[in-house]
Amino acid sequence: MSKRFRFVVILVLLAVAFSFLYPTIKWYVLIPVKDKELAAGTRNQIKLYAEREAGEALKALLAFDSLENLPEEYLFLTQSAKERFKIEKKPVPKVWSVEDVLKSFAGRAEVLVELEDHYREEILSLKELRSHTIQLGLDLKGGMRALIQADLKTLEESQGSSLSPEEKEDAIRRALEILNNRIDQFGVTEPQIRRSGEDMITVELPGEADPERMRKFIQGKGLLNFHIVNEEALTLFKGYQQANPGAYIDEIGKILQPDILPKGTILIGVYEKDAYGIDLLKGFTVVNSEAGLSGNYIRDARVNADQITGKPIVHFFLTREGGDIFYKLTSDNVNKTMAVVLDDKVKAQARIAEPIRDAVRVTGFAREEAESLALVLRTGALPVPLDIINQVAIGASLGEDAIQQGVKAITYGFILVIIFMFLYYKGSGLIADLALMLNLYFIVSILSVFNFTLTLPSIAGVVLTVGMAVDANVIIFERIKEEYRLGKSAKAAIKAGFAKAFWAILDANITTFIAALALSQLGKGPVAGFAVTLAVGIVSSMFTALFVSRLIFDFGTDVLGIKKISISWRRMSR
Amino acid sequence: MISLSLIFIIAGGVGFYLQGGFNLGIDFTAGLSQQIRINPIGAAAPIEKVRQAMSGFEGLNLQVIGNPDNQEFIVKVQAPQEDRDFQEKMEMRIFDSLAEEFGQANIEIRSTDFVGPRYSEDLLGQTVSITIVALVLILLYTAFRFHFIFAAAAVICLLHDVAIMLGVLVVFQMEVTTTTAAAILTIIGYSLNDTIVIFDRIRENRSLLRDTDLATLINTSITQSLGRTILTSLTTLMAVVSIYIFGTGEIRNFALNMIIGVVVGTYSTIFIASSIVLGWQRAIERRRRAIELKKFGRLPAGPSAPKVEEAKVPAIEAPAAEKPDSERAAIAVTRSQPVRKKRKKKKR
Repeated sequence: MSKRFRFVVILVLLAVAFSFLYPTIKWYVLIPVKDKELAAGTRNQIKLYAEREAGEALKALLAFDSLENLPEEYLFLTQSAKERFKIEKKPVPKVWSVEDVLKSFAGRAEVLVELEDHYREEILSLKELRSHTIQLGLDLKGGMRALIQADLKTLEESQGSSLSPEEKEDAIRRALEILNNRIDQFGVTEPQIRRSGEDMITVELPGEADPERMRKFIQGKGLLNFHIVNEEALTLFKGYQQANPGAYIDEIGKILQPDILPKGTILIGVYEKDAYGIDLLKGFTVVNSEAGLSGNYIRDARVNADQITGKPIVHFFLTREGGDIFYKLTSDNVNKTMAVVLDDKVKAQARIAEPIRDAVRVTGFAREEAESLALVLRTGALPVPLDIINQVAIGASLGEDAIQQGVKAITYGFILVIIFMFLYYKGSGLIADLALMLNLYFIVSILSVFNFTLTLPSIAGVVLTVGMAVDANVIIFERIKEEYRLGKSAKAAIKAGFAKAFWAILDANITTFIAALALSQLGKGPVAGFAVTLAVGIVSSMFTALFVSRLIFDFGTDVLGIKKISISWRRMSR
Repeated sequence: MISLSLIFIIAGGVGFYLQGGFNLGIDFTAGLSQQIRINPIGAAAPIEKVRQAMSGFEGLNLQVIGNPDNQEFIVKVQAPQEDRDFQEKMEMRIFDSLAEEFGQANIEIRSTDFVGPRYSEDLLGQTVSITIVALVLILLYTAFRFHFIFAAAAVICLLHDVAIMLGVLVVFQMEVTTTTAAAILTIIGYSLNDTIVIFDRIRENRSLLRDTDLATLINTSITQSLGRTILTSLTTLMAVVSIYIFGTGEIRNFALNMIIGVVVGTYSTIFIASSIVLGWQRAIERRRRAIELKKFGRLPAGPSAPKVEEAKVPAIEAPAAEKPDSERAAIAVTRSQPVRKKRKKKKR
């Protein structure tokens, strides 16, 4: 490989790493606290915010002198105004006045929509951004704490008998375990989940106090069902609907005259997500009240994107028993419509074209919803319904000065290694130091993409991994020294040093990598998190030591024509 | 040297028995969780002050609830669930230490709960079983790249390091938290790295110093790598010692675990790993001789006798073309070829 090519490879990787790191930098440095809080709010709160902001912005715009130039904060409107001008084939103004912009819209309502879209996207994109950043753990930043109660009464009612103390104990123990698994699978690292008292569980999660996050974890499983749409009953309902426009359901969506519908069918709402991700009622359908197949027969669920539309598709994989039931159901109901019902809302409807046995494809879910559904289905059913009793934001568990002292200690350790490398290896030490810094940069950027949660010990771990990565450089340098002492030229010594060190580094690192990979795949919680860091550190340190350092050495000997290697603190005897 | 290690490991075992197990931190034990408010609002009770008032508690976990101005806190301390008496004493102690700072009437205990451990002890069990899987994988890879004896030595070496680390933890009753698990993982990586680098040197020297016996070969290789072994340990130690000196609480604990690990890891790389290879090899040799003695009634005479030890060495680099005596060929395993080819390419 030519030096230029290698240099380009390094530059490309640096750029990729920066793009990984950018969301974290943006989130912690560029975004004001107020916006972060909004992004942590519920979707309804975001909706209220965007609507209010849009209303105020419109008021402000109308209050301006219409010939005045458009203020900077509303410049986003020109984008869509420009398109409108072009469609109408009118000349696009160079400097936009308030009037120009307003004129391009058909009316106030249209401006309002445009404004609302802008404010909504602003906050929703922050929500998205957050999931690509490094998070700070409970010890550094705090998070939220929820008290969750196991609803044993409902469990007793559904079982029809009272539970013995052992049964209660068992239900809560299993609920705790499943909760642990789920939170783990959602990628939240370093949560604190503890049993509290008789029937409570306290959950502490790092990150912003976003109530939706917690709700995801305690979702039930039997809530997803496949129902067959009852066409005759639906026709009956439509007739009733037309006869009584505006007065056929009550506020909670129950039909006012239930006797319209034949026995064994129920009316159920069809929902679609609006731009905020809030469920909106789109209409009604009537289904057989007994589910054709319950979610308990689902063995696994995966989310993919449709190749053409990019919309999420959920694949449900059924158990053997579920497959038999589903095959019978679908063969009996060919050409009828099936409704996928989640939490008593119809999420998707599809015509049954042919009998299906073990895998069902469903479209109609929002991506996030589909993913959390898939995870919930994969982690198993909660043995007892859980309710969130209260939810509060909590502060960092480490004191301010403890954090500062910790960070200081870690920094000192790192700097010490850097200084030592320079003192001991002189010029070559500087190359190792550069490799070290790059290594840190790569590791942090990869952790950022993984949405990794950093605690103080894990920061210490990362820095230590980087510090130990200096080993690869030490192996190479010692080898170069040996070759150099034999009387080889600088170029030859470097070449031989790298070649001889290569297998030692590779074997040592691959072995450790295997260990790290095994632990990260099979382990849980803190073990897996740490193993990921270790694995990432190994790959990145091999790259920086073997590739980056080598290029710098080659550059020194080939381009700068250096004849003597600066690699030791004492004079090298030759 | 191996006897020294054995003494350490046995001491750890005895310590485990005498001390009645590990000193498990709050992650693994039940605790008392109290929600406390300090009245009146605006009484200037920032969390730092509360933390200071409660500084006498070991393994204390203190957090603000909601807005810091509300002066509401969550306090978690370790308290074994069975011991009702102990819990009540703990509650009293918390109350007293806060009352001393803020006045008895101002302390409002809003709720008291006994919380279970954050991780059940099967996290530990699970970690052990995963580690075993990882060790088997390591064994397979090193056996593939070196020789089974080397692979076994590397894995035994790891077990040795972990056993001694656990022994130190138990004898000195150092707190075991999740960071301890992290430290042990890091040490496994570190020690493995260290060992493999020396094995690599032995592998390389095998082809260069063909006529030396295994003991000399190992000695030479360790000496040649000594500079690197010491330097790497030194840089790592510098980092962890500085964390130990300047840090507090959990990361100080982490650093201490790491210091022990680095020392043990380096020691085992230099003195244990290769000794195992040598001892194993000699044991095989002795058995072979015993069998031959039984078979022929005397040792086979001839030039092969003095070279016996060397001949049995796992000869990764042994070129197949060069007058292979039968024993060497048996161990000069097939995959030695591609490895050698690759390296030759590198050199050019």
